Amino acid sequence: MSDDPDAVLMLRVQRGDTSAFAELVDKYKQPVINVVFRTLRDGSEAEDVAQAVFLQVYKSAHRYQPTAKFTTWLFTIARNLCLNELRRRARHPAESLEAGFPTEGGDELPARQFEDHRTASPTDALLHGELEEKVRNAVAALPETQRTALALCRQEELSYEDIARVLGCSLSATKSLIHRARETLKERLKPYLRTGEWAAPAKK
Amino acid sequence: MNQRALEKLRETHWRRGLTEAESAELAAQWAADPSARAAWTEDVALNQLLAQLPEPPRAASNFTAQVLAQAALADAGRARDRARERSPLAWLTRWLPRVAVASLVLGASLAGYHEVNRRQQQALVAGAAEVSQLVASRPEWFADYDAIAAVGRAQQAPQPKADTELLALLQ
Repeated sequence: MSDDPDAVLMLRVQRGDTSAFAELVDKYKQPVINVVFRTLRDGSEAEDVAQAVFLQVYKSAHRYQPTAKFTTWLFTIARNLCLNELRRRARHPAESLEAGFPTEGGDELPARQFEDHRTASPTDALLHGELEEKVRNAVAALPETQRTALALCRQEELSYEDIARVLGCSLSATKSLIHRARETLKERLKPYLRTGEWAAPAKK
Repeated sequence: MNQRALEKLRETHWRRGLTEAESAELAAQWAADPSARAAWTEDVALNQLLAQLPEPPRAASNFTAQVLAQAALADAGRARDRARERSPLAWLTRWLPRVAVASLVLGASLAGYHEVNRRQQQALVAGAAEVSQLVASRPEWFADYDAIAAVGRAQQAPQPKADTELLALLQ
């Protein structure tokens, strides 16, 4: 019997225990939505794709081997569905309802406007929106593997070894992917990097 | 602190904000080696920029219920498929179209074959009738028919080989 509690739950799912499946969905719905959102960059589709991920997990439960860590298997399915979605978008390019509107200058307004109660003035809001768009565009321009590596990197459930398995590459290649993604972002966002300030440490 | 430990802190920092203990560890490293701090500034700034991105949407409160409903639908669909496969009608529904198409092709081939045969026989009968009418109306035309037919058969028959020995003797 595996030590991984999620693998134990999956074995129960294999025997048709839907309460075990509900437990897994409850536990991992937000991490899956996070990764899908960061990969697809679409809030409206993130939840639909995340639901499809769990449905795929349910349908493929009989194929799950407890030797594999559940999260690795789960995020591999999530990545595959995201890739399918990206390919589908490439084949059928369509304007999302949430896509930005082109302006006369040819630029696009930010796709999503978020009300930010912390900002003091419209000018600040505009600057914040502009910066957000620059960062989003820089991340969007990364190759898919680098973007996915970055997205998975922010999921604390996954170790670097797990991320490597999801991406199907070695540990050193995974770290290299993340490093290159960050270097590219630093290069693209150089004018916006505010140096010298150390962010407040997270409370653990 | 060695370079490896610093690298590990950096990899942790890629993933999340450092804890107080980790920050203290890092501050101690910077105090010992101020040049190490410079390498971190861009990384820290990038993390601050990435934090500008909107947070992923929160999962809907009925997310799990929706997934379970879809799973139940998938189960029902699978059960329906299995039941359909097991029912005696399943064989019929699976094979009937194929058998029907095969029968149609076979039937059409047989009908075609019979039709060709029938037409050939009709043509033969019609030819024979014409010949007999001709024989009846002009019997003199066919008086030497057997002799002429025998000549034709003799011409078509294989010729005997030349007797080369006799020819040689005659010469």
